[in-house]
Amino acid sequence: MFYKVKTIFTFCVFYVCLCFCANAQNTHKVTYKIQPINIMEPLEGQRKSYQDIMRKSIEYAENLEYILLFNQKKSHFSQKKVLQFDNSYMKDVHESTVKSFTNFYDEIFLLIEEDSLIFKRNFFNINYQVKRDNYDFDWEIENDTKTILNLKAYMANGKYHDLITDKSIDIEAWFIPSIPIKTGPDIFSGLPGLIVEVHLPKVIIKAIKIDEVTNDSIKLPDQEVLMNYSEYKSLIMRLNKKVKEF
Amino acid sequence: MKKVFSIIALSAMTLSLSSFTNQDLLIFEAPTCFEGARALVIMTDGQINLSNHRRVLAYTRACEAGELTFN
Repeated sequence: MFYKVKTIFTFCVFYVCLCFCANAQNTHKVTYKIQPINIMEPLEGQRKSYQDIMRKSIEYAENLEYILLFNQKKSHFSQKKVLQFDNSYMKDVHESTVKSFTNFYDEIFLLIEEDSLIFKRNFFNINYQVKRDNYDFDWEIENDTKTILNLKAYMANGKYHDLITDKSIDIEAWFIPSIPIKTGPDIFSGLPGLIVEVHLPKVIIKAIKIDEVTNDSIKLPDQEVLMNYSEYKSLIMRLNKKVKEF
Repeated sequence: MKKVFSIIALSAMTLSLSSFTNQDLLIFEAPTCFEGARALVIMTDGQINLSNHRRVLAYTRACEAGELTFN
C-alpha cells in the first residue's frame, strides 16, 4: 500500500514539474500601442501644411501596433505589418515620421540568458544586423505603483546613451514583477518584470494586452551574418558624416 | 477733395498692411520640396541625423509626386 502511494506521489510530482517546464517554454505575446507627445509644440506659428503633415502622422502612429513575443529565454519585438494603405508615398512619410518619434529598431531579439541582443536596422537601403550586450539603463526602482492590465506595476527611472545623436535619454518605465521576465518593448529591458509602459521624449509606449500563443516560435537570425557592436559604431560614425552633408 | 481722397487712400493702405501677418507672407515664399522637407524635420527634431534622414527623403519624394505640399 505504502509503495503504491509513493509511486502515485512520485508520478504527481513528476507531472507537475513537467507542466511547469512546458509552461515556462510557452510563448506569450504582448501588444503595445504608442501615443506621440510633444510633437506639435515646435510647430506652433508655423505653416499649416507642416502642422497638417504632423497631425496625420500622429494619427497614423496611434493606429499602429507593436508585438513583443517572449518566453523564458528570448524575446522578439517588431512593428505589426500595416495592411491596406493605398498610397505608398504617404505610407513612407508616416512610417519614417513615426520612426523618428520612437527611434525603435526595425526588429529586436533579446537573448535573456546571455544578456545580449540582436537588432536589425536599415540605413540607406542596406539592412544591418548587429549583436551587442544589453543596454545598461542604470534603473532606479521607485515606490510609485499603478494598475496596468489588471496587474500591479512599479515605476523605474533610467537613462541610456543614444549613439546616433550622442545624447543621454531619460526614460520612465513601468514593469510588472508578477511576470518575472526581464524584457520589454524595443531595447527596454533589465527590470525584474515585464516592462509594460515606457515614457520617452516624444512617445509613450503602452501594453494593451497579453495573450498566450501556442504556435509562434521566436526564430533568431543567422549568427554568422551578424555585425559586432564596435563595427556598428564605426559604421555610425561614417554614416553620420554622410548625413551632415545633407 | 484731393485731401479727402489722399486720407482715404492712406487709411486703406494702412489697414490692408496692418492686417498682413507672417502667415500671409509665407504664401510668397513657397519652398522647394527638399527645402520644405528639410525645414520640417529640423523644426521637429532640431537637426538632421541618421535617425531622421529617411524622413527628409520620404517627404521630398511625396512632395515631388504631388502627394504633399509645403506651401
